[in-house]
Amino acid sequence: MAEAPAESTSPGPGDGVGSGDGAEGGPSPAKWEKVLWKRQPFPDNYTDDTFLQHLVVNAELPPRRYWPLVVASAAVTQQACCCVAAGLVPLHLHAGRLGAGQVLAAAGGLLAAGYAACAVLGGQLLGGSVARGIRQCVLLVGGVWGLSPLLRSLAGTVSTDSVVALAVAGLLLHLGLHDYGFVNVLTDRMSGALSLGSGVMAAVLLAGRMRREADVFAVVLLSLELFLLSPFARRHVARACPTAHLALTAAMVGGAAWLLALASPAAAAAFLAAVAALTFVAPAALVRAHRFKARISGPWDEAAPHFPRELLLLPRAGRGQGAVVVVEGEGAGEEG
Amino acid sequence: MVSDFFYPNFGGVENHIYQLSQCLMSMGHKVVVVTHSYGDCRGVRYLTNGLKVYYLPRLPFYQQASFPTLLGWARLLRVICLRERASLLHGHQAFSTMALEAAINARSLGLKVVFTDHSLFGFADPASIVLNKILKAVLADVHAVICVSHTSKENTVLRACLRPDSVYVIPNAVDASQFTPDPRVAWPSDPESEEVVLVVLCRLVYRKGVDLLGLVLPPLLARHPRLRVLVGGDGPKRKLLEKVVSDHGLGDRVALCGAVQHEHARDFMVRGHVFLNASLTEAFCMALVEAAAAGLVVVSTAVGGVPEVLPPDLIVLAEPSAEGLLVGA
Repeated sequence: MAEAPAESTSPGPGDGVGSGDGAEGGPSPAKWEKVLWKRQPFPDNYTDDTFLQHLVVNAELPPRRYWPLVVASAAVTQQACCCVAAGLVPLHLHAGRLGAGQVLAAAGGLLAAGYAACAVLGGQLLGGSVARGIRQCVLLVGGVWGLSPLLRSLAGTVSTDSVVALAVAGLLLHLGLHDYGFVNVLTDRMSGALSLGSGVMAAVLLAGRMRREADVFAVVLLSLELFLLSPFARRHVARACPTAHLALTAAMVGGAAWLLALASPAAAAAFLAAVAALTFVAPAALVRAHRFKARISGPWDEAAPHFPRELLLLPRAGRGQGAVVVVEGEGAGEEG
Repeated sequence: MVSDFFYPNFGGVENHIYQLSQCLMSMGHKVVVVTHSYGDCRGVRYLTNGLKVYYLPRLPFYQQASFPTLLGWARLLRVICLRERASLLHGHQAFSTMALEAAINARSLGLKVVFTDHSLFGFADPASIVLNKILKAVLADVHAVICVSHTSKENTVLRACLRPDSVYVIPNAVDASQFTPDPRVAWPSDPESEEVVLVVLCRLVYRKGVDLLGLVLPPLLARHPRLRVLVGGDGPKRKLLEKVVSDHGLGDRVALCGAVQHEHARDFMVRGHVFLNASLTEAFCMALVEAAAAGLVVVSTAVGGVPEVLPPDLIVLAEPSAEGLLVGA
């Protein structure tokens, strides 16, 4: 089949006149076909009625509803409370309103409660078995205890304003990048190394401002518990009983507000207002904005075939010229 | 003609611009090509039949698209347009920043502007969103838009919010005198028992479906013991194919021939009987037409504009999945 060696030999303005309405005038009602390999009696800019026939908008989009969103926002509220606690406990220790012993007792209590929640509600023993869990706990505590002199002097030359600014930025970054889908039982693995890193960095910076090493130890231990271990416990609570999830959220909000009120009641009021906005106003905005979402798909989309990972990553077992074990089914067909 | 993509770079857009320029010159028009410099290829050069090419000192920063500066080379463009007494500017490829900027600047010089889009783009990822907005802004003031297939027309109309009747569908064409079948090639009368050669010729990148190819080749070769495969082209996914070949011990039946220059493409293709194209997205696959002109049976994934390109007796369409390709092949 010989193709014409030139571009279309009937270009340009002559063909474009009077074809906007798509009606094919003339005695022969030839049907327009969506093919490129034969000359059709239509101008080049002819737009058929079947134009964009295969356009699909919002094909598989789940609708957003208000109250499920409110419940889902509890995860964000919980994380915000963790950040507030991680930020304020060093402040109170520094000001002498709290003692290191109290903080250690609270950390220990939280650890026990979280472990119990994981074990009872989720059936997951952190660390594999009880013995290993205790061993890991001892290692963690011992490690932090050993490192606390080092941590205290780590940010020694940095001025307090810079430390506070960096800590606030780190905690905001942690809030922004955190994997909320995990706590909301949407995914199975915790991801978000950057958010964890920035949270721990903020905690370590603030710990460096403490006056005594016992304070440093307490702060770092509590912060590690809050950022590392609490998502697992909270996830189990959320999965087991949504009411308990909401109750836990309320308790955390209360605890954070109390910590803030110790420092300044105005800050506590602002925090409660922010939580209310986050819980009730943000979901409403999201639901309203969802009306404008238009996900366009059609025949121009890039195909996304499923690639079985076994075939691509692992070497095959049977080498040589023989029959090869094939994972996917073979279709009937012939060459040529 | 303005585009970032021209010789010495090889590709569909470059060939299209060159051949279109030659055809227009043979019709008596004066054509000048403006592109950015490639290495030491800079300044003014003359190609066949006196086609004048300006290689401007622009900096390519991502896949041969030059760095976007809206007015950075407006003066150069104005000098060129005035010197060559240009009356029409034809920009190619939405991904080419030079073409987009030239369209804007040429409109302020009072030239007529035509724009040709050669690719399909998505709508969802951030890069596509930005590019679509820019395209919408640039094409708002263009006299005509050309797309290479009907699917591409739908895609471009949606992306740039154009009036459909200002978009012309003009498919690409191939110079059939350069892609003739080889009369000496023996066509196997019985595909099962005689040797059949499968040819694949594409850049080995993800969007050309090289992963699909890696999945399909082993079972295909197992099913047809007399099948041989020639793979031409180079790219980042070559290691994947080499791994598949070595894992299944197919080194004697699959030949990875490396990059094939365009002038040798026909000789490469006529060594085979069947041409396989596994692309995941194509607006208009030139390779299909070239292969059909060279006398091969074409098997391709039915994506984008591919179903429109060849009549059903010249091409076998397959679903874009491994199973579908196996069925088709």
